[in-house]
Amino acid sequence: MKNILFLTILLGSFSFVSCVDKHSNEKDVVSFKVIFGDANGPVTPVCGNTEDDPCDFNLTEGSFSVPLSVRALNENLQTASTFGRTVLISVVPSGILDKDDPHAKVLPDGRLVLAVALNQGEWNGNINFRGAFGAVSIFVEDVGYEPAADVVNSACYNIYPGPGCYAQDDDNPLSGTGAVGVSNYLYFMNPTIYDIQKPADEDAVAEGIRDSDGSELNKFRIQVDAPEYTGDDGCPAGTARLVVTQVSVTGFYVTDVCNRDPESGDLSPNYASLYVYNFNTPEELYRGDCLLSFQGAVDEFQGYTELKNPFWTVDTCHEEDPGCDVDEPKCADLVPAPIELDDLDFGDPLTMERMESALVTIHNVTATTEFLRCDQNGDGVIDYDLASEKQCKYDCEDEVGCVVKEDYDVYFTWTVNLNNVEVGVVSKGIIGFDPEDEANLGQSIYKITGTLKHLDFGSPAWIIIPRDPEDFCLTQTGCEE
Amino acid sequence: MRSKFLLLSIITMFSFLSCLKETDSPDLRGHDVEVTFIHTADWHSRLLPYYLEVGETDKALGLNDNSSGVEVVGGAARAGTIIKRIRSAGGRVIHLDTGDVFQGAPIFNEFLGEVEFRIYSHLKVDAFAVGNHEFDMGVTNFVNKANEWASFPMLNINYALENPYYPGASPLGAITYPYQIVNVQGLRVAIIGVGSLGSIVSMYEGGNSLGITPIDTLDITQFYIDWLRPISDVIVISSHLGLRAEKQMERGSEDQVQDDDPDCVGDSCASNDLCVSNQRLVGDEQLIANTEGIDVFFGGHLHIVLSPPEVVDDCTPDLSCPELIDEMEKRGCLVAQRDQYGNATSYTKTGSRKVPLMHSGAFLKFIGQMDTVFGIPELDSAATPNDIERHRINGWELKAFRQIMHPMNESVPLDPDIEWILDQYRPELYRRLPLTRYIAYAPVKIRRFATGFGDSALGNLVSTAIQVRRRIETDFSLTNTLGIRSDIEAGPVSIETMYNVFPFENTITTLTLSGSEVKALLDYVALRSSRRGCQAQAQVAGVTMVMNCNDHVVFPYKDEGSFETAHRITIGGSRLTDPTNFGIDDTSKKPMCSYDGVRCTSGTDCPDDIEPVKSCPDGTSFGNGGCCPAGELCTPNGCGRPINLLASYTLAANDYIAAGGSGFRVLQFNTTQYNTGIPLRDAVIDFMYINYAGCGVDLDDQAFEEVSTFVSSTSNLSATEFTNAFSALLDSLRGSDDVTRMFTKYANCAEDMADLMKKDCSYLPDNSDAQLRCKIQKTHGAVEMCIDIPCIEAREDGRIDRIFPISE
Repeated sequence: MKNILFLTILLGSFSFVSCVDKHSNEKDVVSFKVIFGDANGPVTPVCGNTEDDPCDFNLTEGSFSVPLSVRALNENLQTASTFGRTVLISVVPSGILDKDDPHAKVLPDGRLVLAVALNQGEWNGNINFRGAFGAVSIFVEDVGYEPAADVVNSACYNIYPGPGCYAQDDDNPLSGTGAVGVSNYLYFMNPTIYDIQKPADEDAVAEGIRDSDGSELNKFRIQVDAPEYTGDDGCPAGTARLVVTQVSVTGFYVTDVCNRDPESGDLSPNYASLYVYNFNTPEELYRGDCLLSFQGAVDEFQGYTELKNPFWTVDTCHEEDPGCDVDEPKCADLVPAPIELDDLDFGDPLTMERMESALVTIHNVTATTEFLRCDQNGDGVIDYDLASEKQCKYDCEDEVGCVVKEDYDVYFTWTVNLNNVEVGVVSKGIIGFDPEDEANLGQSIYKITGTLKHLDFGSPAWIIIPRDPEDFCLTQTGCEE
Repeated sequence: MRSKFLLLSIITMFSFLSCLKETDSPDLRGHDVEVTFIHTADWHSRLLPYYLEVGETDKALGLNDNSSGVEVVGGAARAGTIIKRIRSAGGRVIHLDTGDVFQGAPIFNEFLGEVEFRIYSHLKVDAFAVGNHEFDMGVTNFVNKANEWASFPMLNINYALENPYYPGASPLGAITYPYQIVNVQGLRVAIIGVGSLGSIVSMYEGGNSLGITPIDTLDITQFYIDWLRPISDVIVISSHLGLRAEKQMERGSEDQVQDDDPDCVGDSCASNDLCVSNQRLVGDEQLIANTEGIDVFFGGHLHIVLSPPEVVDDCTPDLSCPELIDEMEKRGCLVAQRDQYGNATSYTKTGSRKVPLMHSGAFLKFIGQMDTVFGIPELDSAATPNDIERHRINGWELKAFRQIMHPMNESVPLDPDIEWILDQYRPELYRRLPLTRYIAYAPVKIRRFATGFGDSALGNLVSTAIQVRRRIETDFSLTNTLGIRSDIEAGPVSIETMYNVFPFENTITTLTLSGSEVKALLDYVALRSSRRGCQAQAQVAGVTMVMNCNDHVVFPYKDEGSFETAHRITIGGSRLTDPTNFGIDDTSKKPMCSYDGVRCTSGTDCPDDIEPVKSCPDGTSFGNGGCCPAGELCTPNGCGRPINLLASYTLAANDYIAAGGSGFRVLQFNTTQYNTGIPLRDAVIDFMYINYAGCGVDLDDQAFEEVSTFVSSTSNLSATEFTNAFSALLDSLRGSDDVTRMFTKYANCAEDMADLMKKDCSYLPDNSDAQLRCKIQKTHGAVEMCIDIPCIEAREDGRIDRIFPISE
């Protein structure tokens, strides 16, 4: 009997000890209470408390600041006052933290977070961020370590990102408590096409510095909404002014016809257009459709800003609407007139960046004069380790009017000469003009209209894609402008 | 004393019990709670690492490219490391898989899913949504393997299954469940499994009845959401539906439920409407939008990565579906504005959830992770009745989420436990199949998807191999593009490569079709292709065609122009007899000259001494100074004979589409079908041997002598001397100028092949004499092998062109 009792007590003691151990962390901290406020209590943010009162979207450094209070909670929802570890603070799903914040750290996977140490289970301070859109929360988590100051040289940087793998001496990563806390939502306006397209440093773009033209919202999933216009602000009255200017077999081009320059306040075509890559042909979408909204992940493809994995909502016209023709796109009349570009524009990187994906037109150009085959050993490709083939390609690309035949067979990009500036054209399957036809070599062309695409690896990098045969005129006679 | 002991015992026992209770279900109300979801999808049996030329999209996601452009990626052992690492961090972790773990690599062909299920069981997958390829070896195989090796739940709600206890019925019903509730440290997470519909239909069309009746996914999903809400805290969908059901795009494909009328186009296809069909077309997006109550959604099937995840509003029904609007209105999440006839014309949302939708790719290139935070929001004065009702039933809502994609490159260590499992099969696999036998060398990558024309380089190689196979020799051949599952990367081509390219055990079937049936067949190909970014959905040989992909794009308004049909179809023709007579460039194998109006070529490509013909009397001229024979048309790769709708033609196709798979119904009921039993994979391997010369065929006497000397005189050199000698050989073969670089292909083959074959010596001690001798021997083998091993090349040639018919 004694033995049994002894065994029972022993078992009970062990189980009690193991129970305490197992829950020691949870007893310390189970979650974090994250509120907008300070040591004195909650503070109401100046905007964004409800969906109906969103803050503006703003990419300016330090444009949004809010006091934040983080409190570690134990299982009884009371402050875990023994908790004094460093926690990570981030803004999700959008919002860019201030990189100069003294608490800022970059994690191995590239995320920028704030690492703050709680004192007696609490931390109060300001959090600054920019570029937030939609519903945003402040995310607090205990991963167990303070991120390494020099993340690239931290112990596990080259292994792979894993939980706890953030510390410099982290050869045997352990986790934190896993406790998290999330603030209430703060609501922000969604960005416009302008916000997506405008690069951070226009001066760098103007100087032609490579990769300076990328979107600051790259890799974010964004939604662009169509605001409602009353008609007295220079824009036609109505809801959707995001007009589809071209549908291609893999996506579509959209222009905000009410885009305004934030500085002057004037209507402007700068940064007003965007390409939406859908992989498949967009279903039941037509040139002249207006979009109520569209959503997608911002991506930089060879220097070309686009949205991928999109979905969108078309502003459809109903039979009972006055003036509605259900068989025609609702905004067919709002498709903007193409923007005239000349050789000087093509020589100015900033002007071109502003026009990316817009509907543009050029006049009085001459077609490709030569399609040069550079594959000399017959393997069907240009071998860059063969000096003669490489040189042939480079020489041809440097010569106005020359197109490398092997490249043309893959990308179908031919060129036109606009006062000794080369502009690419992709027209296969869209217009009847065959640039390879001997009769068409060096042919004078009166007008080419189309959407403007940019590819870093292209030669030339700026390409016009006509929409239909009417976008292309050999002569002025009978040509619709 | 005794009573004291008894009391103490009772106290300790209670403390033990209460501890257990607390661990299982701590009270989480008032706390924010994190749940980490590990998401895997579409492994397709790629349990062993493989070579991949990393594309732009994968690079951007962190699957970095090394200097050679090809990287070793994937493998279950690496996946195991990451999954266990996430789990070991503690917290609330759930591992979901969205199906298609079967089919795609030889380990499946040999072990039929056993290895896959063993690994999943070892990883303790919490829920597995059954995919379509799980049935590739039949339902019985799937069920047997599951019973024997799977210790994780298999989920599906949208298949009505036969009672498994009836004689002759499908046994599937005995192993699948509609949902699984996982209690993760006090939070009850309900996971609902949704299966692919179109693929099941397609398999049925392919002659393989599975005992499955697809049922309305929207209705059944909403039913289970409502059923589970009161007894769980969080609702998660694990889906193999695919992202989106396009109304026209998917017709006849293996991806979605199909319309019965192959001539149906556009709005005339009533059953394409989301709300009309008994089996409504739904993808992941539509499933979220047309239901209410999903918290998080994980999808698979399309092999894509959604990064960041999409965010889809629930309670946002398709406006063309009155009954769905009614349903959502009853649920209080929208108010419909109606016209005089009671039809909803627009609606106002009164509340909806923002549901994150995550796809994590395929083939183990990435492991997906989504960290979610749930909490019970406090109701404020602005709460709608709908909010209050939700709160009453179950207050837990998603408060935040974040996605992390873990790239599966060589930097991830191998998990020893999974390596141990794999080691039990690897020797047997290599004993049964000569997977490491190298059968060819590819100087450049051969792609399965087109880059320029509609046809692809690999598609042309495959379809030609089918057509010209001895005892096949039909007028033309056709195979579905998606039946070719992988590119052939530049470098040595092994038997394993061919299994990855052709994982399915398809054979060649011959049929006889009338000309009008051929036209219908190619029209169908063009129609499907036009809706898929103009990527040809079939690959052909012996036939040329022009797909019209731009009509509906170029003409901006509806109902204008003809839609998506095949034009300028030719079958056979003079090009097949002696192409060089018709201006085919000897080296590029492309036409040299042109005639007006059609994109044959440019006249500037003609040799200097030959005048390009601008036109022949019948308007069908082609080539260097000659005309196409009377009645033939100029095509991008020669002169072709226009299709005669009244004639009959022989076709070679794979047995899958011949049986109506992928919507090829024009073939399904053809009574002339003859399954030759010749495996598609074997036909292509044989074609490589027969059709392509050895990589060393161009070696001249001097170069051949250098190769022979290297093999005979370098056996006894030191490691350094041997390495130097091999480098010198390669340098001499490649030469320092373009003239002598004519042996580059051979030198590249020898170098790449030696690199691969030397890996067989890794079992020997590093830097030992034995290992050196092994490496020398392997290098000698590579040098000799590359003389005869076929150097395969293939390219697009425009047999499927994409020309706008306005030029005609």
